[in-house]
Amino acid sequence: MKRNPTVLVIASSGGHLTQAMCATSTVELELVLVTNKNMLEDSPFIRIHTIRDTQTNILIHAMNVFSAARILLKERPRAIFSTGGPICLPFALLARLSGTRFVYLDTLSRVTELSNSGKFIRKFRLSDSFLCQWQETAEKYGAEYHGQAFNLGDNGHQ
Amino acid sequence: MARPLILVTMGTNEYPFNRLYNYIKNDPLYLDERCEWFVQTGSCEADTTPAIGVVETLIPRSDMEDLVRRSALVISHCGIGSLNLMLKYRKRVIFVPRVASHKEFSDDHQLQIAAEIKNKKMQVVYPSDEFPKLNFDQICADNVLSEPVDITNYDLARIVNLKLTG
Repeated sequence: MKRNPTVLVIASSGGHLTQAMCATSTVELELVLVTNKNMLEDSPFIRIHTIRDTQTNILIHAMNVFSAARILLKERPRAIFSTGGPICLPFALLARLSGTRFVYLDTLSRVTELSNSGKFIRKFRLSDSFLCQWQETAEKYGAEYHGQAFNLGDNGHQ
Repeated sequence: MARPLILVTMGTNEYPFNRLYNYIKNDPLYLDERCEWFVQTGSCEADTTPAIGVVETLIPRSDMEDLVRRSALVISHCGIGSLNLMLKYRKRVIFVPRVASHKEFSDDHQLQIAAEIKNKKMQVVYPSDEFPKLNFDQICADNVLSEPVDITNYDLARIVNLKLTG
């Protein structure tokens, strides 16, 4: 079966997902989402997979490696994009092992240092591109800075 | 005249945010029939319902967006997803950052975000501050704008597209 090429987007629900949707808003390929709680009704994603989120539970991280492998085998994405949180870690590892392009954008919510997931990905060089949304923090960690996923400015607020 | 809607949102976070819930339930307007409330609590246990309105744990994103659109005032945790929505709908907001010392998150990143909010309609209540007493007339006086503004940064989106597909 011939399929359209896809980009796999990994983002936990809430702010990570909001940023991922902004940052992938001009991607021309079909988008498939992996998240932890599906609170979307209509969305730009052609399919949505859910996996369990954890910060520190090693067992859930280990189980997620298998979930990630299953999703990657099913979707065979052209590239992977993530804004975190920790659910992206098994995908980052498998992307490196399988040679799939992985672009990581560290979350806007970490202003003065990288998120824990970001630090892990940076330390083990798991991404092909590592973008940070705060200029000083980008410089501190040797990441790329290309601005923020959405405009934090005044937007004509009166 | 329709009742002004006051929306409270604590996001999808796993940590309960009881401090924010206590602030609002202790405000006289919580039991005032002139206001309608929608309180999205996440994992916080709410024991008092408002005079008029609903308390829910989690709601679909599109429902949240519709509530934001209709609200006269939003009281929100300082999550980036919430900040995005409030900027998009140009809302009057009272932000209350979650802090680690009250076990409201694992770290204090919401304080860092709070420090970046520079908007005349947005106020931040820090842990050492008192929560402001809500003013009914002021809430009614605010224009409830319904048209969203597109705040996406397309320059970044184009770079991401190139990196993924180029």
